[in-house]
Amino acid sequence: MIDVPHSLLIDDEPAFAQSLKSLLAGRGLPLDVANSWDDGLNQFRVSLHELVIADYNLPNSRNGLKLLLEIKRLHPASRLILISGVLDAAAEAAIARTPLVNRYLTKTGASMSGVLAQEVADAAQRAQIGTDWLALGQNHIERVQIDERVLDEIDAALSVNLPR
Amino acid sequence: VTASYLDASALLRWSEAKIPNAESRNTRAAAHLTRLIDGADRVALSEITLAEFQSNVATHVRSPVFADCDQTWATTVVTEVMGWIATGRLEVLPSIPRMIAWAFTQVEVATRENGIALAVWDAAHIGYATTWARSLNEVVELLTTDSNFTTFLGAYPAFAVHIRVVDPST
Repeated sequence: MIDVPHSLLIDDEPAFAQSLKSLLAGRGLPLDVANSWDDGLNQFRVSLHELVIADYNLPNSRNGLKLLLEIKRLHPASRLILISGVLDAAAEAAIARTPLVNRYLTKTGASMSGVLAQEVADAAQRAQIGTDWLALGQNHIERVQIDERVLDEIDAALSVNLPR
Repeated sequence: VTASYLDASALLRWSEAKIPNAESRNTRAAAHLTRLIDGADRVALSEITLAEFQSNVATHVRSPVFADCDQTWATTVVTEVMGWIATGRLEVLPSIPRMIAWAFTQVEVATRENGIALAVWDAAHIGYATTWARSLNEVVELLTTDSNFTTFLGAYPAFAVHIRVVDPST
C-alpha cells in the first residue's frame, strides 16, 4: 500500500487546520491542507481526494458553492463536506436542497472534530477498495443535473451576511 | 531525484535496442535505463507498465515490421525485466485500487479543458508516479518517450511539484 492522504481540508484558519491534522495524525490518518481555494483546487487536481472538507467562507480567497461545483465536475465521486462558522439554519437548509454537498457541519459544534475524524477514516478505508462503478455512474448523472443558477442564488443570498 | 518510474515506452525502447542495427534513440534509451538499473537509486514501475510492455512485446513478435523481434527476443527481454524484479533492482509499486477511476477523470478533464491527447493508461502512469512521489515526499522522474506526458504537465503544473518527465531516448 502506498500511504498518501485521501482527504483534503480547505480552510484559512491555521489553528483549526493544525488541530484537526494533529487529531488525525494521532490516529494514523494523514490529511492534506490548503488555505485558499486555488491551492485546494491545485492539490485536488493531483490527488482527486476521496473526501473534501471545505470552509464556506475564505475571506482572502474565492469561495462559495460554485467552487464546490468545480470539485464535483472534476471528480463526482468525491464526498464533499461544507463547514462554516457563519452560516445560519436557513442557509444550511438552502444548501441541503442542492445535490452538491454530502454533509454540512457547523464549525462551532462540539462534536465536529470527532465527526470529521470518522469521515477521514471512512475515506481512507474507501480508497483501499476498488471503485464502486455503480455509484460513480450515479454520481455522473447527478453532476449534470446540478442547476448552477440555484447555486448562484444561494451564494448571492449568503454573501450578504459573510464577514470580509 | 533518487527515484524513477518507468512507463512502457521506456522499457520498449530498451528492448528494441537488443536487436541488430538498433535505432540510435533506442540505444540511448537502453543506456539510460541500464545506468538506472545498475545504480543505487530506486527504480519502479506499475502493473500497468508490465501489462503494456508484455502487450507491445507480443505485438512486435507478430508484426512483420519488427522482423528481428522474434519469440527468442521476446523471451530474452521479458526474462531480463522479470529478473530485475526478482532481484529487487526494479520495484513493482503496490496496486492502487481506484487508479483506473482516477485516470478516467484525468483523461476526461484534459480533453475537455485543453484538448490534450492522453490515453487512460498514460494517465495511470502519471497517477502512479505522482502517488509514489507524494508518499516519498520527493520528486520522481517519470521515464517515457511519449510527448503527451510533457504536454499534460505543461497544462497542469500542479503535477510538476511531484514528477518530472524525462525522455531517456534523447
